[in-house]
Amino acid sequence: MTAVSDSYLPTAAPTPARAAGALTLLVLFAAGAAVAIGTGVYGSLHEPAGIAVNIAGFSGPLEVKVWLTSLAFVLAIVQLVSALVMYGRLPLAAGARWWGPLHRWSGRLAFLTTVPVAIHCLYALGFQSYDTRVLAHSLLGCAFYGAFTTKMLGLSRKGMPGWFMPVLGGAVLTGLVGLWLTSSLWFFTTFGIRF
Amino acid sequence: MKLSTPLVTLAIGAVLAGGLVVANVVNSARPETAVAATVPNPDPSDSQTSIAGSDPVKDPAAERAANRQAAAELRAQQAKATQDAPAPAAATVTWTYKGAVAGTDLTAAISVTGEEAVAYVCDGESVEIWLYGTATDASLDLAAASGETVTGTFTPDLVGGVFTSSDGQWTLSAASAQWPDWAPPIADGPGQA
Repeated sequence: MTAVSDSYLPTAAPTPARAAGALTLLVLFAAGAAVAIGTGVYGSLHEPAGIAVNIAGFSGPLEVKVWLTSLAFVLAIVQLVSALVMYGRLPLAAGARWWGPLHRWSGRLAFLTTVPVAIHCLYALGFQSYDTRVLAHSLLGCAFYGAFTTKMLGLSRKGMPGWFMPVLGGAVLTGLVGLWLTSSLWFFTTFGIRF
Repeated sequence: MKLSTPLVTLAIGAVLAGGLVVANVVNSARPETAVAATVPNPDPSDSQTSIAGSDPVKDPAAERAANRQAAAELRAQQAKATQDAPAPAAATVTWTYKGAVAGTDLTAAISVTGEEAVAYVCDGESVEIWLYGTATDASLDLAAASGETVTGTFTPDLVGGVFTSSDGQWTLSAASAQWPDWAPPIADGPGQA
């Protein structure tokens, strides 16, 4: 991965990093909002197909989804711990150099893990509001991808305000935990632990 | 030019999502695709086929798996049928009815869209049956994966027919009803997670 760099780390670029202005923030949040709203609109307008591709080895697509979501949830806990250490809030092997890579890779994996689940939700089931759990899950799902988009776009820019990453990271984490609570935990407590 | 890793992450996610959507669109016409929306019976001890409580529970898990498989096939066939047909689907009206199976605790909800019919029969406790089938001319012909059937006739206002299970036959009647806003459309089939 030589062509890829973590551009939010200091580089040899001659131009000093300018602080991101209000316009930049507006654009980043607007992009996230567009993703969230677009996801919700697609989920509402697309006629739920009821069926979608499945992964072999599980008894059904719901089982696949609740376990993938649970994997993402565990990775989200790694995200929280590693972020706290990187911000100096947890005195856990604070000097270790692997916290950053751990945070990035667990985040990437968590995000990619959620994608098949979300596509199944959107394609087979759609945005629904017939009870509180389902409405909360639908809203959280849309908000999660919006917040994630804003965070990723913000990461790729220099000079973001200090509150940006903690706030966006917190939003993404809250979204994912909420999604897990309203799907996987609900499933496990309703139907039992099953594969 | 250096690439920014967060943007790469976003792009990979977007490509993965796009690929999955394409896979879904391609696969949703094939019968072997798994059903998404089948939620197993909430109480694992319930038998989905026992109507009057006389049918001993065999193996609920195996039964549910069989139900799910059969329902998946039915739904996949329906999906295929809808895809294959030139589908004047946009113009078809959905008629919904609610009613009861006389002499039992069962209530019934029926939905007819074009030539497709879906019925949901339950007693609010242990019995929950989804039936799928056809509505041609004025005739309804539905079957559940677990073996129950509903046959009868319908008009825009009324459904009159027979509900048959391994325990016997009962008269089913239902009248046109406004589908409540809060309820998922019955044509969507069993619920979701």
